[in-house]
Amino acid sequence: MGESAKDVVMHDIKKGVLLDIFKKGERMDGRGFEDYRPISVKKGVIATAEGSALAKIGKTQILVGAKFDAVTPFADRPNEGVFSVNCEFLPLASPTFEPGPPNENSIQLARVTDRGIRSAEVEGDSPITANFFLEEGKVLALYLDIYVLDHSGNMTDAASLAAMGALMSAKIPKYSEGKLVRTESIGGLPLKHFPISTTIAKIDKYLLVDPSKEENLVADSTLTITTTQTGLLASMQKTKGAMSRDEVLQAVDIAFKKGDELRKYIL
Amino acid sequence: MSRKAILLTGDSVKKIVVPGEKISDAPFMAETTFVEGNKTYASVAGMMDEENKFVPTKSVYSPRQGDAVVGIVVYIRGNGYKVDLNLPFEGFLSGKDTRVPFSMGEIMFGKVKDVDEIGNVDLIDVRKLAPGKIMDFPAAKVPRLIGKRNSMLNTIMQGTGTEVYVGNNGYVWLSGGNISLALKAIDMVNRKSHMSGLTNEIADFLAKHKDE
Amino acid sequence: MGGGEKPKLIIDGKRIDGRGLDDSRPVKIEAGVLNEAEGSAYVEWGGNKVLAGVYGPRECIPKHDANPFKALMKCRYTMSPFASKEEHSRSGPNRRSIEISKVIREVFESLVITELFPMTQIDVYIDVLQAEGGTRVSAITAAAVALADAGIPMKDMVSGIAVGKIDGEIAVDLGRDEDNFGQSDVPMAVSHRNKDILLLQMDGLLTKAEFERAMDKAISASEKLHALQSDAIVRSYEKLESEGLSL
Repeated sequence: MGESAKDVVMHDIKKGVLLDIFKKGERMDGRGFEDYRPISVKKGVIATAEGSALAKIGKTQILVGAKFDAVTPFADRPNEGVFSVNCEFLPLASPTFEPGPPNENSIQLARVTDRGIRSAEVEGDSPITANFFLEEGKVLALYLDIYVLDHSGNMTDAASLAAMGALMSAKIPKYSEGKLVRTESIGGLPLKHFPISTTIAKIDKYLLVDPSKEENLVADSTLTITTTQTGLLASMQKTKGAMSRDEVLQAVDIAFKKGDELRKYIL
Repeated sequence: MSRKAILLTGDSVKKIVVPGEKISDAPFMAETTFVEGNKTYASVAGMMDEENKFVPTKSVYSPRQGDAVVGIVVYIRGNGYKVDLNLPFEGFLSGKDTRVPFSMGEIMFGKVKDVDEIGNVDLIDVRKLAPGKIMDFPAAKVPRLIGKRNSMLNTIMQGTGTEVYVGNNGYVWLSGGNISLALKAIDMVNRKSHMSGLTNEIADFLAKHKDE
Repeated sequence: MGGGEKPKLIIDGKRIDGRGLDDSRPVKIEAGVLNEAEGSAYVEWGGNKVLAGVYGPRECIPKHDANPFKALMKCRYTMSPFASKEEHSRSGPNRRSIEISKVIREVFESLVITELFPMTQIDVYIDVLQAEGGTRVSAITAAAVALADAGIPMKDMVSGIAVGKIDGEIAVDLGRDEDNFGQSDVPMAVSHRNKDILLLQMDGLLTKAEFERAMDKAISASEKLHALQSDAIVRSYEKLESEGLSL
């Protein structure tokens, strides 16, 4: 996510300072190893979008908008709807974000969020895009845009909360005479699972939930695990570095516990 | 002004000033003011203190000779070091001006020897600081964090056991003691910098959370 | 948009949303809503939701663009893919947003005391989260507060305000439908102290007399906006906890 020169050269010193504090059983901001920073999620914040949510974890703030369009389906899948997740790291969100096309970090966040959410099947074990067929040659497309407004670490979990919030608040527009009537809705998405991600950073032998920006910079590895309320794993993404088998399993246990806590903010 | 822009800050009332607002009918020059038609105007947001002097509270740090700064070595050159000072340009410490050698990433506390027209800073009188936490603090509020005769800084250090060095450039170095409590106290100073009685409030806060 | 008549924009002296000709839509402004940006502001103006963030003065990139006498102002205005109540749009700049970025930058080039920071750049980022007509003047209004919040020295505050002609009448602060179906749209930016015109664009057709009336109404309406901007700055001191953005 972009590092400044100072972050790069201070890596070892920062890590040493953090490890000294971890030895005392707490983190730089006073949290326990399994504590999230304060969380809030507010749904339905953008009137022009058919669904939206603003999620905050600590000082990280992410807005997700959901919009529907009526589009031509893919030639080889004429009855299937379209679901697409895009992510913008707005340059105002961090001194290290530059204007420009998506880079590998914003693309990774879009795809990780997408994979986590796609498991939010609708009733009947079908994908989100079931029932997106409108008529011959026309299907619904659902676009989720992740707009990072303020990057203070752990954009992944904030994006997960905001994306689920946007999906939950989404109202499908009525389709009539070849056009979407956006002022009328036929209801929401009948979601069955509510997958939420938990991101854990490994620094030395410590596993830390909801890494701050600083913790993420010195992490040896991070693991994002998406869980559902029905006790299922829905997606995973590990970044750089190595984790042991036991550490991964420990992270899975933590993720199930934390996923349930986080889900309370959207349900 | 037809609208009141006053702030109740405990036992005193201060007037907030926004950019472009007149602060004197006589011309005088300062870094955060400008003169137009023989009158002086604020160029940044701030407040008028008890002596009706303009105190900028939101401003960009302009290094001055003699300022104390905290810096981080980001590049080693043949003749000296490039030092991150939280400024648009890196500062420079000449090899001739220090007996202590530095490695990349090490932290120093020193003085501004010289500033050129562009804002390039040369450093002098530096000492090496042990590995510690570096945080950003708004430069305009640094005097508040230090306090009269170091009163605020001492209160924080005594209440946490943490060693703290504050640079005019807005970098704060912390080491040892209860760093997370010290960080909370410093954040309080930042948010409540315009309130009076803050030093006592911080002392009380630290006493209450001492053993957490 | 084929067929159909243009809707009437004024009925019995009232505009389609009930406003009088000289009434602006309600405006709410908050300063210091972002933690990372050095200065920030959020403006809700009618159905517009606009967020501005400022960085700088900071290193000028690319280096060869740096000016030895002053800071370079850079401005990037974009609209989110979900800002329009119609179709989803692609994110990133387009021709319209690039032109708007330029004219907004030119407003702040006149105001920011750039001579104090040679060889640097100051970045103003403005993102329209939700749009309902008049986004560029909302953007300017937000950017001015964000620059003040960042402590970047300016010679004056500036407010954006659009006036226009609808159904033959000069009206203040056109909404989206008034902009689409009206006869002329005149976005402006007015500085507070000297009432200088720092941005002026116009489309449609106006007589000179109509334009003069429009400009005077804009200058008058900018007073209230300045009061709201100043109030946002004052309140950022009172706000002891920053809870971030509230949409």
